Parts: sequence; C-alpha cells; structure tokens
Amino acid sequence: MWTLLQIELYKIFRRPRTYIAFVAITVLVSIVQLGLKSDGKEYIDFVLSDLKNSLSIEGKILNGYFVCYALLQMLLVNVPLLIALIAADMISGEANAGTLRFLLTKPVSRFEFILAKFLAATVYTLMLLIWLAILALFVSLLLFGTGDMIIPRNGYLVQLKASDVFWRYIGAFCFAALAMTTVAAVGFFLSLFAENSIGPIVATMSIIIVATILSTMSIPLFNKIKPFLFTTHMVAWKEFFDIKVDENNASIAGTVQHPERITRSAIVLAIHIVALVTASVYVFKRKDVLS
Amino acid sequence: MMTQEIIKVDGLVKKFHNLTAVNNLSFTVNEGDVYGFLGQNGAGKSTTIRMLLTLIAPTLGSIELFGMNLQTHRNEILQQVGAVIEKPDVYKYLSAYDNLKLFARLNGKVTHKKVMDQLEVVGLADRAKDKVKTFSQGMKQRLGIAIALIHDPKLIVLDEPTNGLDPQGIADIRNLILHLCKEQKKTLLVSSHLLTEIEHIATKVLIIDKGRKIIEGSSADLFDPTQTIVEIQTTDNAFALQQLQQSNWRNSLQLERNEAVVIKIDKQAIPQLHRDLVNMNLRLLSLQPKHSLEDYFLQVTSGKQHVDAFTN
Amino acid sequence: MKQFLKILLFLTITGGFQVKASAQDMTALVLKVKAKLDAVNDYVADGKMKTDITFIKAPVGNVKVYYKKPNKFKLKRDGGISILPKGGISINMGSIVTTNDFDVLYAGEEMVAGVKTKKVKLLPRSETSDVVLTTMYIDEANLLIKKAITTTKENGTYEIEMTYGKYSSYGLPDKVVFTFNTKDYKMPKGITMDFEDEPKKTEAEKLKNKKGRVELTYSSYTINKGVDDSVFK
Repeated sequence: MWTLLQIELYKIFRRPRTYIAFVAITVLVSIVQLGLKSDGKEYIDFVLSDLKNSLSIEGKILNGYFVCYALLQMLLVNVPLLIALIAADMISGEANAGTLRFLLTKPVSRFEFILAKFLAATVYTLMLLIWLAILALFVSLLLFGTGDMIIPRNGYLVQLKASDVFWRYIGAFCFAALAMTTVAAVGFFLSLFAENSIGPIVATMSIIIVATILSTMSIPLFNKIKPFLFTTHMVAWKEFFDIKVDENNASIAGTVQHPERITRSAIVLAIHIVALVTASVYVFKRKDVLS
Repeated sequence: MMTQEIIKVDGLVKKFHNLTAVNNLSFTVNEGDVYGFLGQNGAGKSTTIRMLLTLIAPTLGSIELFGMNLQTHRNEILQQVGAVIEKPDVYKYLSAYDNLKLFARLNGKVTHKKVMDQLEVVGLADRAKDKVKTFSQGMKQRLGIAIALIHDPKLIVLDEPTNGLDPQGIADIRNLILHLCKEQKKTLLVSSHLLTEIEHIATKVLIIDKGRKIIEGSSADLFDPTQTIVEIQTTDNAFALQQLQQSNWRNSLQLERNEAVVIKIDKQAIPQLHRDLVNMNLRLLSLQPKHSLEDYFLQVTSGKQHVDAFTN
Repeated sequence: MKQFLKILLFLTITGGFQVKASAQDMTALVLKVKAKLDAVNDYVADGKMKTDITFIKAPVGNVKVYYKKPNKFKLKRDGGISILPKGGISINMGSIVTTNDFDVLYAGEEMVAGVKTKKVKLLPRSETSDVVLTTMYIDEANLLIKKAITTTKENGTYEIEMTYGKYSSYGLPDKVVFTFNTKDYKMPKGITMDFEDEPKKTEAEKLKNKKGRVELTYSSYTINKGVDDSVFK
C-alpha cells in the first residue's frame, strides 16, 4: 500500500500539470498581496464603508491576518477548480493514456489501488493547501505584519486579538483541508466514468460552480436544498473567526461562537468523502477496463 | 512428468448489454506453449485476454491459471504473469528507466541493475534517461515488453504485439518470442489477426470468430499439408453433429456452426467420410474441403459483418 | 432622532429659563472646572477598554491614552485596532470645555452616583460647532464633572459618566463610561458569500435599539511630562 502511494505521488509530482495549480495560487496570492500593499487603504474603506459612517476604526486594520482572511475568501472558491484538475484525472487520465491496463494487470488489488490513488489525490490537495497557507498566511504576515484582526460578518463586526488569531487559522486550514478533500472525492468519483480527463474535470468544476451558486442565492426554493449541498458546508471555516461574548458583550478569547456549525459541517463533509470513496471502490472493483 | 496446464478456460462468456463478445469459449494452454490466439479484429480476442488478466469480469465460465482460480488467487497469479495489451502505453512524461522501475515496483522490490539489465535485453539501455514521448512505436513496444518481463513471469501475454511495427520491428518481436520460449522456457499467449504472423512461431493455435471457438489444435496438425478441413452442410446440422459424435469421426470434429459442421481429416479420408455421411441417412447439402487453414480462416472470418463491443 | 433632539432642546430651553437667576454663578463654576482641567497640559494614561456595542464583538483590551492641550487626543490599543463611535474623541472632558465661547444655563441639582451635583447646560455660541448642547453634572465641592450628555449635529447624543479616584486633583477620572445610541448605525454586511442565514429581523431590530457603551478604566496617569506630537498623527 505504501509502495502504491509512493508510486502515485511520484506520478503526480512528476507531471507538469500538477504545478499549474501551485503556480496559479502563487500568482493569485501575489497579485492580491501586491494590490493590497499598494492600495490596501481603499480596499479597507470599501470593506468597512457602512461602518465608517458611525464608527471610527483606527489602527493597522490591514495586517497579515486580515490579508490572509481576504485571500482565503477569494481563493477558497477557486482552489476547488485546481483540485479538480488533478483529482478528476486520477483514473480517467490513466484510462486515456492507456496505462490503466498495465497497472491493473500487476498483482495489486483494485481496492488497494484505488485507495492509494485517492490518498495521493488527498496528499496533493493538502500540499496545495499548505502552499496556500504559506503564501496567504506566512508571507502576508511577513509583508503586512501582525495585529488585531477585524472581520465584518453578516450583521456584525468581530475583532480578534492578535494573540487569539493564529490557532483559528490552523482550524480554518484543517477545515479547508476537509472541504477540499470533499472536492477531490467528487472529482475522483467522476473520473471513474470516463476515458478522457476533460469530461470529469469539466463535470467536477460544473458541479462545484452550480452548487456554489445555489448555496449563495437566497431564493426560498434553493434555501430548502442548501443544507444538502456540500458547497454550503465548505465555507464553515469562517466560523472559526466568530467569537463568543460574555454578558457585557466583551469577547472571550479562545472561543468560537458556533462550534456546532463547524462540527456539523465537518461531519457532513466527512460523510460525503466516505460515501464517495466507498462508491468509487464499489464501482471500480466491478469496472471492466476497456480502455 | 505431466505438463502443467498454465491456462485453463472453461465455458467463458462475456456479455456487454445485449452483445455477446465471448461465447462459451474453452481452451487450454500448456506449459511451454507458444499459444497463437487468432481472430479478426473484434472477434473477442482482446476481451478474452482482458478476462485472463482480470481487466474484465466474465459473465459466465471459469478461468484457472497455474491451477488456481483467477478470482480467488488473483494477485498470486498475476505475480507470475507479464502482459502487454494492445498498445504498450506508458507514462510519456517519464523516462524509459523511470517507467520500467515504476511498473516493476508493483511486482516487488527492484534494483537499479535489474532495470538496466532489462533495458539492455530490449535494446533501450542507451535511451534509458530519455522521456518516452520521444520514442518510436517500436521502442515503446520494446519498453512495454520490458515491463512485462522484468519480474521474470512464467506466463507472458502479448496482445497484437506486432501492430504498428515496421518489418524489422516485427522480426525483432518474433525473435524475442522464440527466444523467450526456447531459451527461457516461458509460456506465451500471443494474439494476432494475421495467421501468417502466428504460424511460424506458435506451437498451438486457437481461432475464434464472433466470440466462439472455430478451431483449436497444434500447429503441426493444423498446418499439416496432408490434413484438410471439411465443412459439411446438411438439412439438419444438429442431427448431423449428433450422428458424427457417435461415429469414429468424433475425434476429428471441430465444432458446429449454425450453418455447418466442421471436421478436420486427412485428405485421403474424404471419400470415406462421404460414404459414412450417406449411410447415416443425412441429407447432405454440401461437403467442402478447404485447401489450407488460412483459406478456412479467411473464409470464416472475413467479408462478414462483425459487430462487437470491442473494436481494436 | 430629530424629534428626540427637538424635545431635548425644548426641555433644555424651558429648564434654562427657570434657573436663569444663577446662570452667572454657573458660568463661574464651569470656568473653575475648566481652569482645573487646564492645569493638565498633557498626559499619558494606561487603562483597559471594554467595548459594548451589540453588533461589535470586541475583546477587552489594554489601551494607552495620549492627551495634549488644547484638543489633541489619541487612544492606542495593544494589537493596533480600536473601534470607537465617531466623535469618540470627546471622551476627553478637556475637549468638551475647550472654548470659552458658550452660554451656560443652570438646570438645578441632581444626584449622580450618590453625589449631589449641579446640572448645567452649555450652549456653544458658534454656529459651526458640532456640539449642539452639553449638559454637565458638576460636583461643586471637588470641581469634578460627574456626568455629561452631549448632543452633536453629526454624531448623535453621547452620555459620559466619570468616576474619580487618586487623580481627582487633576480632574482626571479613573473610569469613564461612554454611552451612545446605536440606533442609526448601519450594520456591516459580510464581505462576500456568507452563506449563514440572515439574522432574524426582530433580532436585528433589538440590536439596533440597544445603546452602545465604551468603558475605559485607567490604572495610571503620567501627567505633564510632555507628549510628542508625532503620537497624534
């Protein structure tokens, strides 16, 4: 199993395509950082425009923590597309290249094979997130420094002490890892059904885009199905940045306002992953390899 | 010492939806055979070979390799099998060396020396570090064979190994097959849609069409110029077959096709066969001797509509 | 809001007429208080700030407050970000009474936190002043402003309540509670794509009607030791 995983990872990281995603993230993050570095004040004014009328918010709002949050908000919508690029290619790509024939005539059980493939896709996903974390969090902290964090949420403003932020990012990235693994599982599952990689990649992207739109639109009909869409649960990482307050409305360091939302969403996502991987194993074990 | 049965296929059927790609196929490959598997494109060769290698699950029938059930002893069996199915597709973005090593690792531990030695055998040692995308078809085929051979398997399955090769490449493959059989005592299953390609190397031949066995026998017998194939057509072929099965001709019977009964006999025996058929009270429509196996092969397999889920 | 201000103004004026007799004394009292405050040229104070605005979740934070005559004021928070209601600068009493250009009306006596105070109303004469009216509750014996209610044109009405301790001789409070109405405040919207349900309407209304509070508790002052101007930038 370990050998299989090594081989799969070797294949992933020897392919030029793999690095498209890393380059894309680097470019996106750099552009945003550059923009905020030069015109950050205007962005802050825009974000806080409603509040600026009644409140005077002073200090270094544009610090590394804030920039990272802004980056995650923008990028965690796009990263799934980059994950689809590899995950939805895992089986279909091998089928297309004809290498699946060679692989499956080797003395390796299909169960182990597909599990190794999925784990490799997961490792790729995690690497991508770690890279994102390095760029979005650590580089932002280097460029913009640290400080208290202000997050406008729907209906209220949250201020987090600088010392109370870092662990939230760890939580957020762990959650994002779960969310992105779900995306990988969707792409992976779809990759079983095609002998070219474009189909599953486009299908995965379409599913994510459509589901995200449904999750965002506030139309009563869609609201009913929202809780069942995995994209609705993928944004629960933001809950790490909401804080409980005491009876005097002072925030309590180290707390999260709705930990149950995080847990619930994490469970929903985990169920998706398990279901999709199980379905993948089921389908793959019975699949006639005709490619 | 008894010769070991390397492959034993019994009553194999594969259906894709409404289409029967392989229909009640049975055959045996013995140790040391170079087993020629003949049929037109779409006859069911690839489907059969894929079933032997667990790429496709049979609808019905049993497959045994090395005396073990393929379903229950899959990994044990595949450890002793090397195969190249259709095009020898490998990872184009990797070098020959990396490809070979990668696939070899799936069979177990592999050393640098072993990889290089194997590349030497197939004549790719000097191109070891080159990416496969720069390779010619022949070089890819040789790399594919290297992948099939590196773990020293007892059984080697080559599906249309000469497809797309130039005459030199075809000759190389033929020599390699003979070398593997004679020097290394391997058992080989080689498929082709060209009889000429098989007849010089195969020790046994199986011809299939539309998923069914047409004829099976040793090359010596099938290509024996004194032997001939006779196609018998009567008003009731089933009855004819039944009669022949009870007669002295039963060992020469090949199979019953809907339109004919096929029998392989010495040319000299044709008049006797004719007499016997009349004595059996069969209403004989025709009795057609074929000049050669190739004649027959061409007749049954060409010029007909081949519908198969599997077109190569 | 406008209605509210009108009523407030009416009350102020009528109140003013009743006690017109002592207006002169009151001006003297305010000037005395001002003189006391004027003795402080500058200070740096350490303290804690507690923000209680319903739609803001802020931690209790350590602050450093810088003041320099006549009206320079700066509040710095550890971690760098401070959220105050606009016009929050008037947390500082000195700035309330920075000019001499106002009319003083006496509005009677009232108890504030167990201390008898004189209630006076300050009306700026300048048309351009943002402050419309300030009502002060002055502890006459100690010359301390115990409470002040300021109505501004732009930023609504604020109430400031002060508690004094060891710095009372300078007129500097140990604790300042700053109360203001958040009724007209616009609530923030999420930056993008917040999928969670919208806050319920009634809940939002409830939040809106609540008053905002900022509480500053000073632990120490450094008075008249000079403050560099760069701090206020």
